[in-house]
Amino acid sequence: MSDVNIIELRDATKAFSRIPAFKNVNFDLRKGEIHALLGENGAGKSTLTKVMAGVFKLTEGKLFFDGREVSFATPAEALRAGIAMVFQETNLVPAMTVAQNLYLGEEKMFNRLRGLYIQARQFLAGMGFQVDPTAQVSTLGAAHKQMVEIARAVHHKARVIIFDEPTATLTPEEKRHFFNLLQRLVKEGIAVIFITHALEEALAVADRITVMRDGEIVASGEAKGFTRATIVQAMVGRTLTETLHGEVKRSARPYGDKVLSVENLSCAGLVRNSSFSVFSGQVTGMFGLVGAGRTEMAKVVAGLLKRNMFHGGEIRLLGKSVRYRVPRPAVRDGIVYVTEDRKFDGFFETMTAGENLQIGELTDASNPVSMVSMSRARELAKQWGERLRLKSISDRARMIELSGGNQQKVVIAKSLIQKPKLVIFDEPTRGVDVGAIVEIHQLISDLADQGMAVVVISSYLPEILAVSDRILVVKRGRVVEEMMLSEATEERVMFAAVH
Amino acid sequence: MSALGQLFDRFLGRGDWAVTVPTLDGPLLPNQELEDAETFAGLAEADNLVRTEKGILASSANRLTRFGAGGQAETLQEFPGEITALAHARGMTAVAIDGKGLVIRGGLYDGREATGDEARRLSCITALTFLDSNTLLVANGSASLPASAWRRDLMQKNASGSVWRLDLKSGRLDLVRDGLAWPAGIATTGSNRVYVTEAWRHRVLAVDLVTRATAPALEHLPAYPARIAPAFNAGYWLTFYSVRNQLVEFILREETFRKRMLAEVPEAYWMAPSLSSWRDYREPMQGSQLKQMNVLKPYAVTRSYGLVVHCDQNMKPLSSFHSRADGTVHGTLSACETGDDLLVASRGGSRIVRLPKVASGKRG
Repeated sequence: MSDVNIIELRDATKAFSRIPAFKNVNFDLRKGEIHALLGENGAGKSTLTKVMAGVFKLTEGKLFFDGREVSFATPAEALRAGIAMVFQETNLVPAMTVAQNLYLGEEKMFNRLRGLYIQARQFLAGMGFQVDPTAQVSTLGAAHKQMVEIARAVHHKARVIIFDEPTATLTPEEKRHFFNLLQRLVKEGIAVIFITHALEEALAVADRITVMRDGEIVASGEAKGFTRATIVQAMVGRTLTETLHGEVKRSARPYGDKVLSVENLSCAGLVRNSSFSVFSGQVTGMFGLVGAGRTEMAKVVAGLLKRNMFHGGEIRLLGKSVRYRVPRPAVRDGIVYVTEDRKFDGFFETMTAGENLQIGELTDASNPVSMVSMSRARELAKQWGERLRLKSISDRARMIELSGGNQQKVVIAKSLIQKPKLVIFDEPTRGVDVGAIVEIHQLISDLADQGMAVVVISSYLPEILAVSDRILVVKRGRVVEEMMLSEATEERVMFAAVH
Repeated sequence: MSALGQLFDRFLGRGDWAVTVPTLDGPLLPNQELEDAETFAGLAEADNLVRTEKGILASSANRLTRFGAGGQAETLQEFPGEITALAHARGMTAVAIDGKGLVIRGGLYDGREATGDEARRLSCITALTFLDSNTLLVANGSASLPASAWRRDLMQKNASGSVWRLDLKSGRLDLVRDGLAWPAGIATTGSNRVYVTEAWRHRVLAVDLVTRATAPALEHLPAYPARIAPAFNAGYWLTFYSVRNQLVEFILREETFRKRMLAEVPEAYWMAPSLSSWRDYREPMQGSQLKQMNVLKPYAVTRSYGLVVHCDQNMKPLSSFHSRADGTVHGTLSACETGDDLLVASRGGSRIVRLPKVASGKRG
């Protein structure tokens, strides 16, 4: 790491409709360093980095790149200058292959696809990523999409790479590959900004850490000068009860009535003869590595995927056999699925939070009113905004303008508005800050206390242990182990997931 | 459902034609509690545990045996046929004899028998319970087969079982409910409602004795329920013949194969549930039932199993005790509490096992 700054922001302010996302920020990034940027959702981290990457222009202040004052009009201009950004939600072209996405914008008059695939395969293998370059992006899971995004940034030979929540979708093994890759990038003199909510990752890999809160930098310095506790305190401005890491001991809730019974379910090669039950008044955690088939099981239950036509198994909701071809009858019967991919499946990004919430209400079969009402949308936004402590820039802010955590809260509220009997949360805290994680966990716990059957799918083991009363471990499309909270340890759960 | 719908379901393996089995999970999560339990007493074909003022009564084929607190056995009487059910209340013991009817020993109606023509309808008594001092509730498993032919009744897909109310004073026999698929257990609730297990439909029914209305209290069980015994918390102990498995479910739907198996294969070698297994190398095996390194995998699909489930007063399962595929305490058809302990009769294992402190709620 050198002492020379490659990026510098001086007295920088960025405002949307006169409301500042961040104000009077002084930030610098040194050559060849990994700089972790931390903060709660809505703290202004993403906006700050988007200014550097040319997505937004500063309202006030100055941006220096390599000692020269710059103002990038577009991300492409920033990329040409040497600043690449890997976004929180992937921005790949779903209909194209991995290789085509990797070399997007570099097409020649006549392209030789085979050569492109060989080149891409070598490049991906060099980075340690097990991704098929000929695979269509729409067929990839979230983790593999993230890998392609990272590979694309590295491929552009950027001098600064900004990663927004890069590890949220990666398995522990993939994360190790990623951190090795970061070290390689740094050795080559590339500077990295690394936005993350996983504080351990920041403490482990970053040279310097900057913490933002409410659009201001509240702490910045060498990583070794920080501890988990000091970061958390700086982020939220209060001492946080760290339920996520099991510091609060709790006992498992008893079994309620059997709400869902899945028997010998099969769905293509993704779910294979799997059986499990879900009980009311409990949180059932579902753990497995990425690709284990957890999401697919949940999607079949919720009517988003169809099980095998021949001997696909049985699903019983409150003892009654059900088979959904589309999600609407599942929602009507009281099953809601809170998606892991909120950007694509969770909300309409050009609508406001209230309008999205009203869409949830309109899906409710018991609701006789089926007309769109702006006043009702505002009322819902206010009501659920208070309940879930939703922080938005203004009432009229579109979903795309909200932070990841607030978007997730809207997606959850949209599901709960349908008064479900069974809620399936798929990666509920992916891309969500520590403060919001605690709030979402509390909400999940409250739902179980109210007698609802709750399923939480997560690849993050501490989260599973923090929220679940009962843990199901999924491997290769099948539930292979069940344990109560009292028996579950990280080692035991992980052992079941990988052996 | 329309005939066309049935045809589709049959073709696609859906609905009634789905070859699926509910999983043993939640409160039914497998453990080794029955296998690890201490032996209270060895008893060939142990069955029908009943607590009396003088000790525990158990049946072993045609013998009625009483056990003291220390497990010492005393044979009370030998009957002309296999004892298939026992009940005891106020000094009276009702004994059901396979294919013959029932007799009362002790108490107000000592010596009364229902073994002649009047009891022809009670030739397959599977469970008994006293409703009051003068009334006995009787579960009759089948109208055509004896109680010992339970496997045949299942594989023939019969549903000719019934529940009767027997007035001991007048000897009058009233039908409460018929058309049941092997009622194997019966328990009172302190109201007009009684619980009846319907083994081959894998459920427990709540039957109103006044209105005769029937409603399922517990459905879609992963095993074939047998007897019901009262538990310390106003709940019940539910015992089971064996667990269901996909191959048996499949055979039950494959009419040609099933009929040929019944006609041509000796009963001991049917692919059907059993009270014990691995006593003969000619017994049928399934893929995952194969031994590896000469050890049977505990999670293997099995034809015999040991399972006792503790339910609350509404028949909601709370916890369970198991003997898995690699165990021997199988065919646990009867259980009863004694003090803080629970005794379980394993017909397949030919012994009675004791689960200490289970009946006080301190374990399980």
